[in-house]
Amino acid sequence: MKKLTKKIEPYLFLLPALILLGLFVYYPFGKTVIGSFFLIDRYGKFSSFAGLKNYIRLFSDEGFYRALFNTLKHLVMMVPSTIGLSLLLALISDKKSRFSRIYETLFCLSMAVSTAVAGKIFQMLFNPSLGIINSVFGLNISWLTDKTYALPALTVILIWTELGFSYIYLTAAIRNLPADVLESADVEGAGRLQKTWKIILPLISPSLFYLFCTLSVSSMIMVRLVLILTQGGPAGSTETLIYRMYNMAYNNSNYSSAYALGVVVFVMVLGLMILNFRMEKRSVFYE
Amino acid sequence: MKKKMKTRIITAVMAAALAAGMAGCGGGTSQNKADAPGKAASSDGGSSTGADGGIIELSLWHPMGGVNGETVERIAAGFNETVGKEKGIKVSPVYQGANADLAKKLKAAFQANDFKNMPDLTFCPAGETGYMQGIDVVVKAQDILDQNLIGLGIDDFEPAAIKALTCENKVVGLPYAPSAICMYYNKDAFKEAGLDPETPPRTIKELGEYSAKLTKRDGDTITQYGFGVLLDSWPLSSWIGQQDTDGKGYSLFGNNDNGHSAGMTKVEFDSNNTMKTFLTEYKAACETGSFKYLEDDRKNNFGAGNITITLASSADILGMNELAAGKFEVGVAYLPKVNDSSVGGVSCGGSALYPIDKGDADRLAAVYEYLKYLYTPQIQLEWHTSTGYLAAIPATYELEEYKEFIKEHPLYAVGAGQLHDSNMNIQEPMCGVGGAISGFIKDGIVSVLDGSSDIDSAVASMAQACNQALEDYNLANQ
Amino acid sequence: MSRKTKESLSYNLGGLLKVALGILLIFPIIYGAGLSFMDAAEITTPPPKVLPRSFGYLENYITIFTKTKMLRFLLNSLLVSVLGTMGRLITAVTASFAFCFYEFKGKNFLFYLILGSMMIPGDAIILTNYLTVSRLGIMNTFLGLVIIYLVHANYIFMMRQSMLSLPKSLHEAALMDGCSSLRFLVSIVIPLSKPIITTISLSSFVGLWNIYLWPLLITNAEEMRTVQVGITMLNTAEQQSYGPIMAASCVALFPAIVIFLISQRYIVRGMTAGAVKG
Repeated sequence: MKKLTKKIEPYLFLLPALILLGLFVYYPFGKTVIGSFFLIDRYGKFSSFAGLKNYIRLFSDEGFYRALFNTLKHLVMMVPSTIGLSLLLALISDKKSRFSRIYETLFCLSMAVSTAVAGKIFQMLFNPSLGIINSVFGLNISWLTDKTYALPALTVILIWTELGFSYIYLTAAIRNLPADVLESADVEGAGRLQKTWKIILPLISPSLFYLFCTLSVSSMIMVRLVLILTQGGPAGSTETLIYRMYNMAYNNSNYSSAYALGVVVFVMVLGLMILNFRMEKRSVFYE
Repeated sequence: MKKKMKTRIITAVMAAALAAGMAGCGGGTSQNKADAPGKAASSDGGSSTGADGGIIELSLWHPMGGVNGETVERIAAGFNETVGKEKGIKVSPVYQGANADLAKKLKAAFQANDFKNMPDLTFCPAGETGYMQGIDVVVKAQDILDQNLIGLGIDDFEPAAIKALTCENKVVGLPYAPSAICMYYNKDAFKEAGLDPETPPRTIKELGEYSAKLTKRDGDTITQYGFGVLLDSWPLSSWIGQQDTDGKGYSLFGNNDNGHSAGMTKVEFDSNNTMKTFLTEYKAACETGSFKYLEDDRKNNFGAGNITITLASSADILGMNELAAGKFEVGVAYLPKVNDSSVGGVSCGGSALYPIDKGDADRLAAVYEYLKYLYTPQIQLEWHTSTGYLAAIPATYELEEYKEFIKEHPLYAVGAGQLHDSNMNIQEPMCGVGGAISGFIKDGIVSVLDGSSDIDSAVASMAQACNQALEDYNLANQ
Repeated sequence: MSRKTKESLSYNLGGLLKVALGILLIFPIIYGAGLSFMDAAEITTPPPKVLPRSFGYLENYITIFTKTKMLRFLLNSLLVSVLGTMGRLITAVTASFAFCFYEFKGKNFLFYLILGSMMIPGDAIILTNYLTVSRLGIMNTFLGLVIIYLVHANYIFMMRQSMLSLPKSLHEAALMDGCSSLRFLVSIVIPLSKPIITTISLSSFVGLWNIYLWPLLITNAEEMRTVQVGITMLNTAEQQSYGPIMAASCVALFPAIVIFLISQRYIVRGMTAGAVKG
């Protein structure tokens, strides 16, 4: 009896999480996967089996490749800048001091700002005639309505909102490094730059890797700001993959293509993660 | 059967798990019980429904924020205190977000087939007419009006608004809050530029000339734009519709009578040459360098005097006046014509009302009572003068009060006048992908104006993109 | 100048510079707050300003508190954030406990199954979740509002990382002493995991405070709306009134920032603890 309890105990502890995930993540996702092989009308009814037709239509549509390109462009701008900037901030605040509590708080405060609120504030900042950015720098750029600038502008907003968490995460990682390692480096007379490059970075590489993964995923499925600020425009320049899916489903009542796209995005993210973990084995340093 | 059973088991297990979890944290469960479904809606309602069980409470979903939302609530309160009190009906308006959010919520509720969480009466944007037609529980306007259920017939309504809500030759929604696109201009800036504020531009060509004179420069940068608006399919439906290409007095944006006689399968603006004519005129006018053709918060900029002419809905009149208050005098005029050979006219925008049949005849009868009240000319007048939206019932304009009102506020007459001077067949395209089409039009026009595309290829690619979207939609919704 | 004063000078200067950089970073927040005290004319008259003429212009705040049920929205958001966070903590603690203190069949598979849920785009499944919640009959309730948020793979991951640092022998010893696993979890593991629990609580609270699309879909009555939904209600098709929107944004932002300021130290501490043996 006791042995049996011991056997099922772990499953019981996992039960709440698994039931919720099953019902609210895997069940709907399964439905999405199945739906992607059917034609679905605007009322959500599966009308006929479509085989791979939805996927073929998806891949033969140049809009898909544009959305993919936009998404990757966002990812490439977003992930290194966020990690780079937060790392920089974390490195300059590696010591506790009289000021550190103040600037630490300032550095990570953006974490508390929701995407919706950040979107509204930056909409004003970026406003071509009423906003402060053009006025201060003497520019005349329609940030959110010009197809050259709209996507980078959105990326900037997201970097800002993500910076807080990344910063605090890296600061914790650096603070947590064993003091003796750092001290021995000091004794050996390593310069600050050398110390950072040769010792700190390798030691916090698991944390950097974690950030890299979570930021990549969130960039791949980026949609909220597009919904709030640009609706994919101008000229499709801010249409990300998930926005395209969203638009297909809600605005064009085209659930078949939307579901297929949802599945494709999942596969892409999964692929990206597998790739990340492959690379991790080569480049991430564990004690 | 098996599936249902499974769902039930999962539900039960989960509820148990949750209850256990919440209880462990103290206080959680009681909170949840207190907010059992249905209760939440009425808990704050104030008046008790328990004492006299006869009161029917109707929920009305609407997309009106700000002043317009207050007007919706005031009209409902007026009803509740008079007719409603007498007949035991209480209407509770609930704001459900702007049009797009409202439509999203309606679609979700319909898919779930969840009567308890559907409204009894709802607004819905005109763009969703085709969708609403296919929903069984939605009571169609044609039936209501044919059977004289609210004391009104089709002829009592604004004809263009009826046409805008007609699908396969059947009226689907009850017109409410029609609107017309108008040209707003800054009279003081006109005077300053030596232009007569009483004769605003009448054609796109004149618009270009006026705009050039109204534009102010400081070195290379423009400090005041003559004209500013980002065009999408809404103004374009007017500019395409008003070109009389074959003597009918209007042109079509899309086939099958703009989607009103049958589902739209392709656009017409390329084959009937109307888009090209428009773009030729507009590009020439824009080349004065005085158009702000990308979106730049035109309403606030108009209010700030940074843009002197813009396009906006007749329903924007209150907001525009408010923004300009104390700074300059606002002028409102008809939308300029594409060119001299165009017959002029605008499409009718706006929203519609749909009763929802939850299988309770008394409820539905109560909804009809409220609709009767809403469509009396007096209430329509209150709606019109408080929001700037036009009256759905033209009889409103015959009221003495209206004539008094218009003497003091002559600008309000522009929207209605314009609609009455227009051919009712000038319409926005009606299809399931209106938003997508609007986006393609927007991008196509900008590509011509910024020089990245010539007119012919822009028209071709706009048409191709629109047709593709229509094809995709029709494939999934045969 | 002695070396010491020189050092302290550069130290103070450096500190001040960093504070200045920090202020630059939160400039958008300052800007938004400034706008919330301006009337429409002040916002739209060039040149753009950061600080209002006076902070005495409270019309925007009066508007949002009188024309919407803002207090109720705030209360709802508070409830949703607290309930959701509790749920996430429970699922994270129990799941991590299983992963850290037991060996069982399918352990790796289940772990990856949980992690994999992070990769499923939430927007692809939101409509089906709506249908599920509707079928469960919990539309327009707090349970319906939080139910899809009660488990978060990332938090399970973070919790597991932290729990891994606890010696497994502890569990065996406790069992030997006749202590049940649940009791061991509640009286030993949870107290030891306090730092990471704090971190997750705060991060989750702020996250839930900011959710938007789901509450919009799931609530029909105004009394059930959350604050983020309430903000968008000030946006109408007819008017872009920046003042009230900024005021509402500040009201929504305020609690999140306060909680953040109070607890920021604990977040860092929690993360540090969590990373002990990553």
